[in-house]
Amino acid sequence: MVSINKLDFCYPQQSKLLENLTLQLLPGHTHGLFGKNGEGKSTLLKLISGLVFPTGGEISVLGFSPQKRAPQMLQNIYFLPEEYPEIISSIANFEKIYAPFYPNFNNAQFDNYLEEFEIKSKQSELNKLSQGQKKKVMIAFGLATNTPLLLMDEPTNGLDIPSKSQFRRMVASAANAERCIVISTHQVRDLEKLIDSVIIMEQHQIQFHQSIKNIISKLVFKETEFILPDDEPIYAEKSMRGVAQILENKNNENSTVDIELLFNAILAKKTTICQLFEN
Amino acid sequence: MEKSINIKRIELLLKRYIFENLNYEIMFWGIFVLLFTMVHTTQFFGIVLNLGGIIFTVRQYKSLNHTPSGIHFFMVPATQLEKLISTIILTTLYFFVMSIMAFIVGSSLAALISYIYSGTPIDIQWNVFATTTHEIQNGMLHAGTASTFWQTLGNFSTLQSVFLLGSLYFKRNTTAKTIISLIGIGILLASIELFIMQKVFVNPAASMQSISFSVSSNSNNSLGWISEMGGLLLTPYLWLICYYRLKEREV
Repeated sequence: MVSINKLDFCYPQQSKLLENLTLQLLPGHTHGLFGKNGEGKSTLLKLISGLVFPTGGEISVLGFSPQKRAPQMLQNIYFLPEEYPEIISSIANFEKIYAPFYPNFNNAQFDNYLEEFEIKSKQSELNKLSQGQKKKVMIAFGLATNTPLLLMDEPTNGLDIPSKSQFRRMVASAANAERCIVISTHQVRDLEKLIDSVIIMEQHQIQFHQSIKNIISKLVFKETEFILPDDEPIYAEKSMRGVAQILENKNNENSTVDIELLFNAILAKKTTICQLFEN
Repeated sequence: MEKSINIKRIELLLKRYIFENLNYEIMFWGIFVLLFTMVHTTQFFGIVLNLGGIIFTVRQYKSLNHTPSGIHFFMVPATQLEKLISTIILTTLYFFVMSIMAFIVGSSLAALISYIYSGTPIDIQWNVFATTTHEIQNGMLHAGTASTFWQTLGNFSTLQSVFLLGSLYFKRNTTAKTIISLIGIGILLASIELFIMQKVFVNPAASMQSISFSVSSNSNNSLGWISEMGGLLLTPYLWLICYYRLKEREV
């Protein structure tokens, strides 16, 4: 669905933001895109959408070159940015204007999502809604477009606690075998149990890209009071309850991926962890 | 929805503009009607049409300088050509027609107000495109009228295309920077012309005089023809630059 090969990118008069970046995104997955501030997560999403152009390398999205911004490509992508412009229109009018651009848009689905987010009236003016409510409308619209590629930049920022779980439910229900969802966020806890693939960016490149299934099969995530004598953690850090550790999964143990811990581990012990996945 | 120019998509883009700018449009055209109610001369129509057109046009791509608005604009599934065509329709045809309508409404209101208060209707030149002409036939001076509709529309389109390009090139103070650029280009062209004259003719001042006389006095000669063609092609040429500028524009 998305194929990125040896991608380079830098903003004018700035040092390289992305260098020799290679990434393949397949349909049927919900990818979590993680990285420190300024690593280029949002820029990567913009490059995939054709909003900025690479300085080197190639990108192919649904068989199209994003730089051309072909409507046949754009009608199959929905990019949910972190911030929205001031749109002076009611929700109903917004739907009336933009839905016809997306051939798979489902009006009933849009209504259901709005209802789930407790947005009662479609006559509400978008510019008069709070930032969080506006985000809910955009998330609902994005999911209802049923585009094969859905890109979300910090979608849970500004959402209240109940809305975050509603968001997870909706995205989980919208995911299917034909759809590829990419969610870039710092709020890792919001995405646990939702994503099935982890992408970690660091030093202008993709340092780690594995499915949750693969991560569980290779690593064990533990939280204990102290490190046991038999344990040989690949990475450990102090936690509220003692020590959070990542160990090699030698005995086929089942654990839940702690994305935050994994992220810190990749930053500290990248070579050791990546070697485990190469075997 | 597979073609590079799709009428349906252009229609949707126009609808999008109207829906999202309805309040601004009401306010803008309200001011126009008010202005034409106060002053309803053809000269004033020309001034308001051109100045209002500039204000309207430089605003069109202003949003691209704001990242969220730029994302919103470029992610709309339409080609850049369709987006440009819809903007050209709005800045030329739509604006032109709306200005005429505002003039008619404003002048009608003025006539009505005058009739109510003084009982006598005021004299209004309804045909803003009519101009008085003078011709010499058999040694006699004859006065007549001619329509300047196409000439006004043509000049207006050129002016709009210049400022549309300016709005795509300059991020801030678009109007001022476009005007300064126009002056700069004018000086540059004049300097080139002067340089060529100096090289070709011994007395450049006299030569320029004779050439300008020949252009205006006989449009059938080659220089006149080139000048007319250049004028006609300038607007589509500027639109073409706008298209490439829009295509290469990033957020």
